[in-house]
Amino acid sequence: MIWVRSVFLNSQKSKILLSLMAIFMTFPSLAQVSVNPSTTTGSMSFNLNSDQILSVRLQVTDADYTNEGQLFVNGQGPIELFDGVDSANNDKTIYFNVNIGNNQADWFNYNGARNDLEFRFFDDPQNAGVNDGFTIISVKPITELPKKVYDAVPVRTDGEISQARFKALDIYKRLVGVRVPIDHPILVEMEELVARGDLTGAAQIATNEPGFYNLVVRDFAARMSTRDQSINEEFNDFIATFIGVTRDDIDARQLLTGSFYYKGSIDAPVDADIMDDILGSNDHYQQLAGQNYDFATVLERENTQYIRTNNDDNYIEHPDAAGVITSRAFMGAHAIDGTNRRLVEYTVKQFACFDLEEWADATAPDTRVGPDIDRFPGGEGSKYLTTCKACHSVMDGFRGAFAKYDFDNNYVRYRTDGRDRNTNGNNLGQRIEISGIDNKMNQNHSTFSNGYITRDNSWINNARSPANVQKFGWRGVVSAGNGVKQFGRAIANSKAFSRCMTKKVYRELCRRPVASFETSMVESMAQSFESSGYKLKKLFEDIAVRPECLGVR
Amino acid sequence: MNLKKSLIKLTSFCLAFGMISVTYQNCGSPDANNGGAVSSSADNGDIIPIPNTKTASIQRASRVLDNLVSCLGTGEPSNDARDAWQNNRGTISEEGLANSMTQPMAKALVSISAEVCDDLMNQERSLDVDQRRIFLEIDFDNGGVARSDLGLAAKRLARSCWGRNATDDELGMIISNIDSNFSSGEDNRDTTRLKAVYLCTAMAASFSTFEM
Repeated sequence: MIWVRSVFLNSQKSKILLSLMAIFMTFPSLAQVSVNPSTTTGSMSFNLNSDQILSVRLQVTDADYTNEGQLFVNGQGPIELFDGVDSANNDKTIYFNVNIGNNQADWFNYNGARNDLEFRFFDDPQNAGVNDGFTIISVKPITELPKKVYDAVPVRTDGEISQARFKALDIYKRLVGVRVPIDHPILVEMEELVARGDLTGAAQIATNEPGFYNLVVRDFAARMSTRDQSINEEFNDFIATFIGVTRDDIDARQLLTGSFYYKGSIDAPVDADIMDDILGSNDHYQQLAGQNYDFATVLERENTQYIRTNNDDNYIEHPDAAGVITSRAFMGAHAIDGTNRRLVEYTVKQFACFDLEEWADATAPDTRVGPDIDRFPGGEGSKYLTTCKACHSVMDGFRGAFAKYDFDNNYVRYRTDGRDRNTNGNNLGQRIEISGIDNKMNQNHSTFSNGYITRDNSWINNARSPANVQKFGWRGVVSAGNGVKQFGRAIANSKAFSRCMTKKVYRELCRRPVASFETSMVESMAQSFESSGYKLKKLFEDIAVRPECLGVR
Repeated sequence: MNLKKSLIKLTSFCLAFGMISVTYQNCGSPDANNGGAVSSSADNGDIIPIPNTKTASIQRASRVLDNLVSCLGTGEPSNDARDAWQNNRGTISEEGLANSMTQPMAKALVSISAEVCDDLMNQERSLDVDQRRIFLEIDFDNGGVARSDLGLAAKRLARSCWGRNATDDELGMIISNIDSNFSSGEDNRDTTRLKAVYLCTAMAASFSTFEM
């Protein structure tokens, strides 16, 4: 069965008017309107008190051919409901907007007048599948989702300003990312807490402000999301998920292990097709940002990550989801081309805060180093031992976690089986193809044919020298594992993760990296972060009021 | 008076005013703890932190427009303000390090501030006096705005965007500058509106507005 959720967006109505509409108008129960090969039309009517209809939003399951359904408005039409849909969506739930052109918008009656809608099953019923058809779940005008808007507050011409008010402003600026007038009521509220010595309480008020998410957490995550490590990265699934986890007080370790992500509310009039707008492009997130939506409100959690397989043009429930590591943004930055070593390097860099040279270990075993690494660069074995082995031993040990991944043609792809079924490998000269393993893992095989051939997604933790054990603070069984989720779990449970988040939050709020003389502060904050249940919002609040950050008057 | 010419003059003024503000306040306003202690390495420009001292910084390019809209209370930026920000953000420090201020950056801040201030003026002139927040004493439909009325608006702007009271010296400097730039020519409705935008821009584009 195909389920359709259709929402008419009203951008012009005030919140008050729409609230009244919600009270006084009775919307049809759309479950009553089903359209299928045996019941080829379904009708409903409603009154629309809007000035303009901008879009119809659909949630559809099993939208598997283009002309599955049409909408007629007050006898005029059609509006194609499934334009652009293809067979890849068979038995899948997808979200998308039906674009209503200016001429089509004129078909609607406004100012409280009745509108008759007729949904029609379009394809030849004789040829349709038994599950084809759709049911309308709801049609209703909705309140426009909140945009990023700043308050206008009365301002005095003079009056003494207390030190507590100044401090409140400092806390606010750091946590919300912008200035507000010194007479702003929120500063007055924070001032009272500051005066009582409750700086954390003041910080908690600040983190309730949308700017905390829209600016501060956004920048914090943006810097981690791509190779450039720039705060100017456009809004993406990595950033959205970071914001959501912070807002919803979710254990931050799930950022490296969870099968979920955050996307815009279904009521947001942005493209939201899973295949085209979320997995295959950044359109969904770009449009959310471009339309200036308040991320603190508009983001909603999706409890399943999806991924496109490398074997066909379908997407599946992600078999190895690992939070933001398997996000499109992170994979797009690090799984594109290359050999997937960058995924290991940047996962450690962003979530344990170690550059590769910091955890390189020349004493680690190099049994996992791939065949593409020359053991005699320039004809000298010593050069490999002194300059290559240290990094590759630890990095290639973990690389197997990403053995099934590639970023190709705008999609993160997950290889569920190989082009051939030869699990021993099909030696093609420059590469060996292994079933279920992306070819990039065993490319340039002839460089050193005795190098490690990746045959599965197992990994070995070679970063377990005494120095690295001290550095990472590994916990639990982390000597080996399979896949990205287990790799992410090893990193997330390490002490390095909580220290790293502390350092990154400090840099974001305090506008400089942690200094060498502040090591004990990092240790203390990291412990507090762990004991709080890895709550990022609390970490932000705690660090913002530290004397190292705020200064001591 | 031509607005563009006026803003070019204003740019010079703001640069001077901004620098004076910074000099006065040691990279920030008096509310910046301990004067916003910061020092820079001659070699690489890195910030060298001082223990238990807030590190002074300025607003990042990505947040400059938000910062102005927030402190001036204009709700959302107009398309002109967004365009000004987009066109100028490239010259503004990405990270907002205190030692990354440049003259082109100061000019960029003036350009963006002018547009947000224009938004503010347009909003306020359409409101009844008792609904306004900044330009309560200014009659936007007539010329002849009094210095004292501009002074009151300047005081409100200081508390809005600087987060502190303006000093008498600062107020005197701002009003004198307006006097000198508008000393000749017609004194009519357009001049009044221009003076309001000019005053607002002079203050909003100051580094005190962007000290974080």
